[in-house]
Amino acid sequence: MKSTSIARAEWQNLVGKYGIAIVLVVLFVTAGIISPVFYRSANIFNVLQQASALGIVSIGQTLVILVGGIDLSIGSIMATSCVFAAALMRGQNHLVLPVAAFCLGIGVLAGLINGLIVTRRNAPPFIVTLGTALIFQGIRFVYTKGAPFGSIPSIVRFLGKGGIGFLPASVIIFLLLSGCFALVLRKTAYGRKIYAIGVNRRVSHLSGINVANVVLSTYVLSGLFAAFGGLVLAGYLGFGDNWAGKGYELDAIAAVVVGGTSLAGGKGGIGGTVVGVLIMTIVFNMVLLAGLPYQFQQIVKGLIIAVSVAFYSYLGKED
Amino acid sequence: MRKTLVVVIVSLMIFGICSLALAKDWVQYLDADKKLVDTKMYFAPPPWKIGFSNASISNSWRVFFAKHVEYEISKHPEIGEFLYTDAQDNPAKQLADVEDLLAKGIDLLIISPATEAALNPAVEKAMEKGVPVVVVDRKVTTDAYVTFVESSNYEMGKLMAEWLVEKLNGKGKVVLLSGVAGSGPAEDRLKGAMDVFNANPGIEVLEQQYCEWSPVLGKQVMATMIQKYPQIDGVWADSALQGSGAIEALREAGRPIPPVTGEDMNRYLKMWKEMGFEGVAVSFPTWQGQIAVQKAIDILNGIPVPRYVDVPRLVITKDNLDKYVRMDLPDEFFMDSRLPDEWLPK
Amino acid sequence: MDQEILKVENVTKKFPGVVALDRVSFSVRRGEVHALVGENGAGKSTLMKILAGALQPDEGLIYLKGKEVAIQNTQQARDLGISIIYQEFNLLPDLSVVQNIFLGREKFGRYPFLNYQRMAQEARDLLTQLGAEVSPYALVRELGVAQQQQVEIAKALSVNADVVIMDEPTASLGEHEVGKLFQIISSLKERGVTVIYISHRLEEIFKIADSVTVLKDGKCMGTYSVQELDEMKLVKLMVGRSFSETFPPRGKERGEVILEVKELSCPPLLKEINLKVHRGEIVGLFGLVGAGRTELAKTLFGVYPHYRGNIVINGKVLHLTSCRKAILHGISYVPEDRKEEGLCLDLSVRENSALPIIDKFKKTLFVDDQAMDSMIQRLVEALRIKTPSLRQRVKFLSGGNQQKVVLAKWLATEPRLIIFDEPTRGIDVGAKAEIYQIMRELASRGNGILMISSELPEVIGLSDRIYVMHQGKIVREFPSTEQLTEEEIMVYATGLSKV
Repeated sequence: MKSTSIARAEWQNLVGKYGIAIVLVVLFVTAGIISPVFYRSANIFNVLQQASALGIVSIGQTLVILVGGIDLSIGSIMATSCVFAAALMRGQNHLVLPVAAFCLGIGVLAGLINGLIVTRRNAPPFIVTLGTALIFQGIRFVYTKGAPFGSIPSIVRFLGKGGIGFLPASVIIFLLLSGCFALVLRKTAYGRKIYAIGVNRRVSHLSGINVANVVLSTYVLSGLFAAFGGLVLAGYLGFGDNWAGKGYELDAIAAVVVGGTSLAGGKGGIGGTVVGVLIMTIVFNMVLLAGLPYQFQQIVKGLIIAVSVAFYSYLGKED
Repeated sequence: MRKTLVVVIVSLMIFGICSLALAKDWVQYLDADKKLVDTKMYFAPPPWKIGFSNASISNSWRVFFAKHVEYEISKHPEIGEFLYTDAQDNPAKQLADVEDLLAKGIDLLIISPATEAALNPAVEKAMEKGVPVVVVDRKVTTDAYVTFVESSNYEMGKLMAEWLVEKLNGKGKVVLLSGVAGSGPAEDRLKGAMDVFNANPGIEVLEQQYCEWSPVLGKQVMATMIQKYPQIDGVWADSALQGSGAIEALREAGRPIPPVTGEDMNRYLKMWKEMGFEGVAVSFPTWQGQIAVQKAIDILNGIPVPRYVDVPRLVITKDNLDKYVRMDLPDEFFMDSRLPDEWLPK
Repeated sequence: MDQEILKVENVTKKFPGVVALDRVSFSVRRGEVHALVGENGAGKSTLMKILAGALQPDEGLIYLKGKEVAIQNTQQARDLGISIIYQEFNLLPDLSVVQNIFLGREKFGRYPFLNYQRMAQEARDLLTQLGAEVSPYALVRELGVAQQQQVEIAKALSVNADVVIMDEPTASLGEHEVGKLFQIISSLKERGVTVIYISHRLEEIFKIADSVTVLKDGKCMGTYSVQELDEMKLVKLMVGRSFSETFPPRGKERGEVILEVKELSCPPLLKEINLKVHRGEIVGLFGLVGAGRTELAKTLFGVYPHYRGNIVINGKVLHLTSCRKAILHGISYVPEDRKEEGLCLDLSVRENSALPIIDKFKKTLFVDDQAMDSMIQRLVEALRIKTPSLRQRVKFLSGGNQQKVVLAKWLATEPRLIIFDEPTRGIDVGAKAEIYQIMRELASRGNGILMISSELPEVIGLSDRIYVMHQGKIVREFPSTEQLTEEEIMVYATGLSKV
């Protein structure tokens, strides 16, 4: 009796960890059955390219969610970064470095504002980041008067649309960043603190961890990644668009949750998020390949989110 | 005692419902086919106080549209006061905005509603108070207004489709990229296009997708369409927003770019000029705002106005492209504009 | 009167890897106070949850008033007349007393509107019967713990419960509030209500209970009338260990002063506190609920930085502005609430133990897991923590072992002053003795120990010196604890005798 129940617990643990990867594989196979076009390298290229901007911002979102926060401002930061990149680079390669640094600086500043309000004023991050999203949007509109201008130079365009074979440049960056932050979360003191804070903020504080600074840093990283994601989108588009990152905040949260990171914090990680991002993007591609209306993907996405949340909470109860 | 109270309340409610159900004649027509509205009762000596309740300026089309309203207002010294509100795309805020404008005693209300039905009570209240209403750009579903100024989305979609059919000599496979599913303009444009495509059996509509007027989504959807269909002869896009994204996808695919429809947005015109594909731009004129102000002034002067004004679209083709494209101006400028240079957003 | 109201027959409940209840049988007579005792993990809470309908037994039968019943859910338990008052109350803090009492069973008037007047009147009647001075309109948030408990009892009675189960009802009460609770229990008894009383505190059982059922490792050790038992007998039934062995001998020498507190005030509670802790001694700090003991401890740990007065550690005046700073200066705080303040329950033994010193294990970029593991392994062995591995999540450990993990966490920081806040709360008797041993050993190695406790035998048995707090002030110091009686301390703690 004892050994079987332990075996069952182990099995559940495995399912919890790798279940979502199995879903990804199943999806990968089904997509090919629905349309053989799916496996074409140009299509895989498209899927990976579309996954990478979402992926990059989802890394930041994962960190924020792991400490028990949430960042609804990333879509707005992305668009702001995209619009400024086009306007200030004006298509000239020699301006890429300073302007990119400026855009990333905007992201850091935005994250700093989010993080400071959340930590110093102890305000609910949902409301704070919803509010700051509006502020960043306002700044963008004041700057562009509603009409973005400028264009994106070839270096940044390569970032957004270039690549080798079926591997887009942006997905390589996304995977590198994911690898780095998976390592940071697993192996560094900083990563361990993130989990501890997510599990129990009070205990972490009473254990001498500077909770406010760690939480603040996750928002800064999220802002930085959002700005970077905005640059990738700018490269993908070739011009500034006032609404470039629209909906990315919710897609990122969905990808993180589908990947097994708990919205309560403390559980999950980057690996799951990478899988979650790929699932969300493949669903998008699959729905289009199947010739279903684009709105249909909302239904499928919603189903995946609902089922995975139900699944994770079921596993959580078995403890 | 209680019983009587209940009876009174119920009868009041019934009365309320009945009075709502009774059709009200909001305007008086001068002709039998209801084309011209009598505005004598709105005559008022200047200076006038005009209120403009705008849905938002959340994209550059709306910025240009609002600029045209302002510009036309500035040309009329007989307007003593101009009150402007921005509802930030929120119908609830817009209802409050209108209340506010009415409370400030405006002589006329120009409204560009955030959604079709939600603003009905606001315009009805204005008309009841004797404040004439000019509805512009998007409609309301009540009859409580004096004139409705728009540019027909149906015509716009139809014109684009007719051009595409002509370019393809009535034969070919096309992809349709619409704006926001369920939104009035997107659905009307699509209907105009489908009426044309259905009348031309040589045209095969491969697929129709919505792209939320987003360049990113336009590119993503088009990229997948390119993988899915080995041959695409034409792209009908209802706006240059997803249109420009789709053109990016087509360019990257390495195939010759087929004819793509678009609007008078400078980005599309620039791409067209640079890449030299077959294009057409049908405008959704931003100067509807200007016309609305002109009609408003007619109303306050007691001059009869048409019940419905369709502001004519500009069609830009290869022949007159150079006249409209401006490489020095921002991407999202709308080139079918009546604004002098100093009025352009800076 | 002498009839059986509740009978449990051969109830068995298994969890993966554990048999929580093994063919437990006992019966409860109508109108008696029936105590249920046992160490932590003996199966008391499982049994209680089964009676409440929150768990279903694997085997066995339950009879209520002679009829067999299957209690499927908590709603049904309530309908059958069984009410439970949990250790953590089930009250909504932002609702009023009357809203809480009638939650989910609101009374209506003639129209579909709530009849608050009627509910408030009934609530007032119930509270008066209990001798509780609580306004039905007060918000629960504003009430003290004892008053909240009275509201819980009123709520139980409002459904006409025949059987009221109380889980550790005195755990968070001060001594005089306990007296009040006992009066309430007596009045329940007079009304013919049966009370099943679960407690760690054996002396209470002899004051209040009529009969006792002892559980040990999921088995029933029998039901006794209190007249048949004394404390020693009862402890032996529970653990088979004699009570007097638990306290280690007192310390012999004390070293220099490690902590000196001078004129410390921290609004709103603490006023002009003076105290000293030497190396090598255990200093007890006793006070009733609300005396400011935990507030004092947390101020010394840097949680409340806005204090006046001086805190001197090792001869240096420090301004303790954060826990971080306190830890750096060798102060550790073992909190009262292990689950909320001591441990990250979802993390492993290893992660918890390494939490305060994680930065010390940095090797270039990454954490040196091997060095960390070997250090924590040493602590686990030294403290005899029973865990299958360092990767075990602490929520699966027993209370005693969890407390040892908290200790391991602090010992890893090599502290000089350790503040224990209720170090043995919720820990079974066997583990208690071990914790006492460890505390004494830490002191004899030259650490200073400040122990807050509301258990008088513990304070007297373990401390070398005792301070008594009352209403935010230290009202008495006992330089020696030899021959000190509980009454002497109590007199000061209750404010009966002012210095």
